Amino acid sequence: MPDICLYFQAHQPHRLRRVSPLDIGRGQKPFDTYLNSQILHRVADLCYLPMNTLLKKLILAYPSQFSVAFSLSGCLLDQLGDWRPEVIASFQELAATGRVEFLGETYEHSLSYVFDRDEFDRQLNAHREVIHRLFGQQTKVFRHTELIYTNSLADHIAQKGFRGILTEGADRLLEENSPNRLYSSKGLNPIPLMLRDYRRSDDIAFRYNDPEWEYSPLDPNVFQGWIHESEGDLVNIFMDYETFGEHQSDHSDLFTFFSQWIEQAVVSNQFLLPSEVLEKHIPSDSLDVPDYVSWADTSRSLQAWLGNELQQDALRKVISLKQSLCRQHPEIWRRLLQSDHFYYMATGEGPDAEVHEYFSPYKSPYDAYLVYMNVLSNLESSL
Amino acid sequence: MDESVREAYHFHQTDSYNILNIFLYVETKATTRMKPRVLMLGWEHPPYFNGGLGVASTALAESIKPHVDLRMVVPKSGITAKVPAYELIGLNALQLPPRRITVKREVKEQLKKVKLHYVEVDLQGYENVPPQVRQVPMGSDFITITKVIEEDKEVEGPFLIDELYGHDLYDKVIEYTEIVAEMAKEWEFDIIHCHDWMTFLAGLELKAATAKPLVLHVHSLQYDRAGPESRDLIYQIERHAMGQADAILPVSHYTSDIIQTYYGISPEKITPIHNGLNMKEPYRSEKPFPENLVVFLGRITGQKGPAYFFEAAKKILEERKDMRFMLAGKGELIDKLIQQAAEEGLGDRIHFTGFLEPDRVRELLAMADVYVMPSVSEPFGLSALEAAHMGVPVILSENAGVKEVLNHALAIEYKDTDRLARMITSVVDDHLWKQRIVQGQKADLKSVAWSNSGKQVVEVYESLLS
Repeated sequence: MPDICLYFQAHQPHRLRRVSPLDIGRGQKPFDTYLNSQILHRVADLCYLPMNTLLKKLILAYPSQFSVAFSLSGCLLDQLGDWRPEVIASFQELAATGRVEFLGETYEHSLSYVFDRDEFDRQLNAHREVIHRLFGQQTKVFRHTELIYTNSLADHIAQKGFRGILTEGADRLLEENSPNRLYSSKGLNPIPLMLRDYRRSDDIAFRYNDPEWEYSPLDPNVFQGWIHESEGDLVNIFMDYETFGEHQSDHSDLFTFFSQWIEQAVVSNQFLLPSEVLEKHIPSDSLDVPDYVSWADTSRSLQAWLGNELQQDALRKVISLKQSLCRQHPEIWRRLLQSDHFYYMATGEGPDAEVHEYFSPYKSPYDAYLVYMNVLSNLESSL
Repeated sequence: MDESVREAYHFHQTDSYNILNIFLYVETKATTRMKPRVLMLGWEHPPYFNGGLGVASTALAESIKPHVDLRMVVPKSGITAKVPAYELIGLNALQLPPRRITVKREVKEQLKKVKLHYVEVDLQGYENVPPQVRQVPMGSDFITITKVIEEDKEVEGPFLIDELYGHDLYDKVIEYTEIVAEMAKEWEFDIIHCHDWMTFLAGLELKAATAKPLVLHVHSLQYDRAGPESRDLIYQIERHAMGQADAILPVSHYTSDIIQTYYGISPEKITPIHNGLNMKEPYRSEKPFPENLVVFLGRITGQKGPAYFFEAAKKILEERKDMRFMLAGKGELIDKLIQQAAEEGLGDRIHFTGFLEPDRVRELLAMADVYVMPSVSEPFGLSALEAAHMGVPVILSENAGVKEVLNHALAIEYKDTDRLARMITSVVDDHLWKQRIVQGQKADLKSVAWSNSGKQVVEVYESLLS
């Protein structure tokens, strides 16, 4: 029976305020505090609090078999601190069970490794500090925003003291190989590499109650059957935490599904924390990933954030303001690096575009670009 | 001497005692008989309007109202701050009898993707096919396609029109024509006055049924919207209707020339009548940013030449950064231009405001340093008058009717973006020149008034009825 590693990504961006070009220079605040707080309250009530309660219940019921890992972005923690501190307290309760591990990431859920290593290190350290301060844990395993990965990233974070790293089990990396084993990175300082099983993860995250899917709504027995059939000895199920109660419209079902599945799985499978995976499993092969991979879109690349001219121009512009804006308003500048701003600007059609549209607070990618550029122009002219 | 006046004069001589009453009597009698009854057919009316047509037809209706009995029929009326002085009929607010219409419906259909089977084939000359070509793309097993289904159905009740210029425009024009033709059987009128092609068919129907004179007001032609080559259905409707009309009132001599040259209409029945201007008190305000502000205002569509504005902006921004360019309006080219701004790295200097409410337009003009109207073909160009009124120097396309009114505005060949760029920077840098243009434009505006336009329209009515 394969071991199972569950990891949930919890994140909320700082969505931008719509500044009219007519008001450039009038010094409006860059973030839409009202919208952000509304969304945070909604997600806290629908997902974070009830799901934390459920996870705690499952951990207390199966303390030696069940465990779960989280990565909480710094921008989420900032917003929770501002508006819903009891959610942080509930994560602290989970941490206190000893069966929860927090992963390392960039504080602002940014793409900083791709364009600015100094900034990346700064965000990585800031995130390490906040996790240590709030949960008393030293992060040991790293995941970059949206599981972005390449050989050199593994080398880089190995030097920063991380012992392992997560990424997407993308077909083009694996070719005929299974994602259900521990691999190692390829480079000067090889570290273990955990790959997401996108099929099993997306069964829950995307397909669970998709009316077009023949297995919908997914039955816990059927799902557990697929886990059993998995080749290999490790199934990594990674997804957005907001899948529960927020992304999926009929939330009560999914909570029930999840707890029923866990109750079945703990009978035969061991749930491991990422750092436990690294101790118990031995990497079989090294995986060569010279180009960037991620868990986003069908392309599984950086396409979702940097694939078009709108995104590239916006990124160029914000980078160009590092000297001026970052010096005066470092927090604002960092928040403008959040990957979500660029994600909203992705153009294209088909299923990927629908996912982008679901998350975007804007009318279109062009609209998202205008909002971003107007905010930047507004800030720039206030310097 | 008019007969009624002679009658009064006669009374005056014989019965001076009752003279006041008689004069009052004569005046009422005279006006009732002399006021022509006008049935005006429009397509836009505040609060639902798209551009100049809605503004102009409404302002014109108001200005002729004192001289005529006016009933105006539009597809869609709604609540406005100001109750019109004339009888306004919005077909969307009426319980209309049953009628047959064509409706188009978009249907989304999910198709299962065809399963691909791979067969090993020996392809000579294709040895270098990379291995990823053989990979099956991930993602959904389904593709979604959109089909348009056309259905005939009977409806009753209000005329429903979502967008004034939606994809179902032709069908809506036909439905409007049929409803108006039916309703007008109950009405008495002396003149039919139509605004633009959407109402021309209804005008033709009414003229055929009643033999009343048909006046066509031309705010914009398919020539302007689709180019000189256009010979499509809309062009045909315009040409046929203008051929049948008793009088044609284009908004400029520029448009009058096009009607003669491209539509082959004889000049005798054409009377160009310029638009007027309704504006609140002008004011200037400080920009919140230090850069010079150059403004484009209008639909972001080929006819209005936003791409030439963009080109000129790009040329200027290559030389200097103390400039901001704003395009105010919406339209189908907007995404393309935003894309280009991003490609050129100019997204922080070329801005798109989207549609602006009238008060926001005034705010924008109050801070603007230059206003540019690079239209490919512009029958009139009301917003240039607004800009001039707000004290902004105006650069016009040579192909803009408003040039006939705004003599002191600058003019360029719209394609000459080098010259446009030079002109913009010169105006911005030369304050004296800028002031001279602004003062000249203010003088030009003195002769511009809707009451003048209305007076000319009434003169045309009178000549048709005499």
